[in-house]
Amino acid sequence: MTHTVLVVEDEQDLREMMRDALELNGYTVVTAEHGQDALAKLSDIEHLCLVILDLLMPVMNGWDFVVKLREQSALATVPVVVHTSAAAQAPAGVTRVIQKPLLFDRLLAVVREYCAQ
Amino acid sequence: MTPSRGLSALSSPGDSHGDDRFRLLVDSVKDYAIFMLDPTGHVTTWNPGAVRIKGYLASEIIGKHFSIFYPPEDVAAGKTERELAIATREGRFEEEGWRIRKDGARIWANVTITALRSPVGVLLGFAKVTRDLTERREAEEETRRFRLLVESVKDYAIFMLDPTGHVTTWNRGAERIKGYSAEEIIGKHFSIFYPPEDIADGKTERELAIATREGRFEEEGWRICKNGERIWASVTITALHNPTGALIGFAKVTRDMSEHRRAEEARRALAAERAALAEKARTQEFQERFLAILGHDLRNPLASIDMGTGILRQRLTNLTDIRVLERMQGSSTRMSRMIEQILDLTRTRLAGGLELTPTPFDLRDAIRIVVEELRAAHPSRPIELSCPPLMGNWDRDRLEQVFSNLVGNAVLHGDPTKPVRVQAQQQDGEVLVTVHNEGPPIPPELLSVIFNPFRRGERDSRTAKTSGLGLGLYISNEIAVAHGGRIEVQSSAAEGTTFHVKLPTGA
Repeated sequence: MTHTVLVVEDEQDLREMMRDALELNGYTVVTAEHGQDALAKLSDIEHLCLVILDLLMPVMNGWDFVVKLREQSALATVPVVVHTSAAAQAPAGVTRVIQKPLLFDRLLAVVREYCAQ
Repeated sequence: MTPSRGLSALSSPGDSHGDDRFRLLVDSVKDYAIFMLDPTGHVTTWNPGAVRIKGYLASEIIGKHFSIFYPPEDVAAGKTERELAIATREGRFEEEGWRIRKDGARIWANVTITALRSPVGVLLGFAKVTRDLTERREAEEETRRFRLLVESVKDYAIFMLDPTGHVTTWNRGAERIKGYSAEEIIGKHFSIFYPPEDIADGKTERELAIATREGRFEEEGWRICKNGERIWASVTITALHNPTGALIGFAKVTRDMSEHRRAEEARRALAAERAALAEKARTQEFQERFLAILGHDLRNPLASIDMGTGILRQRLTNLTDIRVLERMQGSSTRMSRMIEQILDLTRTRLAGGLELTPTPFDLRDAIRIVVEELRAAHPSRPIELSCPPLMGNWDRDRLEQVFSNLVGNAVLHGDPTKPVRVQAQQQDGEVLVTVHNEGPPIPPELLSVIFNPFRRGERDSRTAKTSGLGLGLYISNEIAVAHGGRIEVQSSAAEGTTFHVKLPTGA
C-alpha cells in the first residue's frame, strides 16, 4: 500500500524539488501552495502518512492549517513536520520542528521515519 | 513751687532774658520729654516733647505724681521713691526702663532725674529728661535676632569681609563648612579659602572688584577647607554700603554643593551610560536583524539547490558529472551550516538565548539518525553506537545538531584507522552521551577555550579541515546549557579525545 506525503510550501522551486526528491525515492506526493489548498486536497488522499509544512504562506498559513487539520478526527494524529526559521514559534500539535533549510538528506531521513516507500 | 521758679534755677540767677530763652528752647524740644518735679515728685512743668512722648497735655498732668508714668509693679516695688532718693543723694539718677503712656502703651525710655538745689543747697525739686528709645530698642532687638539667625544657620557659611577682604564675622555654618572657628579666622584675608592657583590668578581681587562695581558677584567653584579638602561651593559676594554710599565691606554667603555636584556627576555618568547602552542596543538590534533576515532569505533557495543536487546525485551515472555535483552539494551543505551557525550565534547573544521546543522522544532514535547520516557520508569510517532506549523531554532537532557536530568532529579529526565510539546511558538522573575518537589530542591551549566562539589558533589546525566558522562546539555547548546540561571534554595522547554530553531528562 503506498502512503502519501503532503508537501505544503508556497515557494514553487522548493515545492517542486521536494516533490521530485520524494517521488524519485518511491513516495507518493501531493503538493499544495498554502493551507487552504492543502485542506482542499486532503479528501483526495487515501493514506496520508506525513505532512511537511511551511509556516509563512499566503491565503492560509501553517498555524491555521494545523488547527483545521486536527479538527478532522481521521487526521488528528497524522504526523506534521514543520520547517521554519523560527522554531520557537512553531504551532502546538505538530510532531517535529526542523530548522530551515530542509536539506535533501534530512528530508529523506525524516520521511523515511514516518512513511513506507 | 511754680514752673518759673524751677526753671530759673537752671539758668544764671537774676538773668530774666536767659530764663526766657531757655524756656523757649525747652518748649521747642520734641524728641525729649523735659519737665520738672517738686521735691515730693509731683509734675510742675511740661514741654511739647513730654506731650508727644507721654501723651498727656500739660493741663492733665501738672500736679500729678510722676509715678503715673511707671508700670504698677515698679510703683508697688517703691521704684519711684528709690529714684528720687538716689537723685537727692547723688545729684543724678539715670536708667533705661519701661514707662507707661497715657494710652497705656509701654515705651522703652532713657530717663535722667537731676536734683535741683538752691545756691544754699535747699532741694527745690528735680529735672526729669525722658527720651523714647522704643524704636531704637526694637531696631536693636531686630538686629540681635537677625544676628542670632545668621549665627545659627548651619547650611550656609554667612560672614562679612571688610573692604579689603578680611573676615570680620563668622557663623556656625561657616565653621561647619570651612572648618575654622571664629577665633581662628576673624582678621584673616578671605583668599585663605581659595586654591593656590586661583590666588595666583588674582581671582580673589577680581571677585571683590566685580562685587564692588556691580553690587554682587556669584559663582560655583572650588574652595579649600581648613583640613585642605576641596569643596565645590556656590558663592555669593554682596557689596555693603552705608547710607552715604561708602563701601563698608562685603557679605559672603557660601553653600557646600559637593554632594549636589557628586549627585549631578553621577546622574550625568548614568545618563551617558544609558545613552551608550541604548546605542549599543540599537547597533546590536541592527546586526541581529541583518543576520536573521540574511539567514532566513538565504535558506529557501539553499534548500532548493540542495534538493536539486540530491535528486541529480541519484540520477546521474557519468562519473565526472557526479564529481561536479558532489562539489556543488558539499558547498551548499557548508554554506547551509555556516548560515545556521551565524544565526545560532545571533540567537545565543539575544536576551532570551537559544529557544528550545522540547518534545518527549527517545534519544536513541535521534543519535541513530545522526550516526547513520555520518556513516553514509563517510562509508570508510567505522562508527560504533551503543545506546539503550532513553526517553526524555528535549528539543530533538537541537540535540541532533549537537551529536552531528560532535560525531562529525570525531570522524574528521580522529585517527582514520580507529573507530569513533558513541555511547549513551542513564546516569544519576541524567543522560550521559560520550563521543570518543583516537588520534592526536587537542592541544592544551585550545582545550581551555574550545567552547568559545571564533576561537583563535584553531583556524590553522582543526578548522582548516572543516572550513567552518569555529562556532560548532560553542553552539553545541549553548544547546546543552539551554537544556540545563553541559558538555565536557578530555583529551590526551594516551586516551584520545572524549566529549561528554550531560542532559537532565526532564528539561
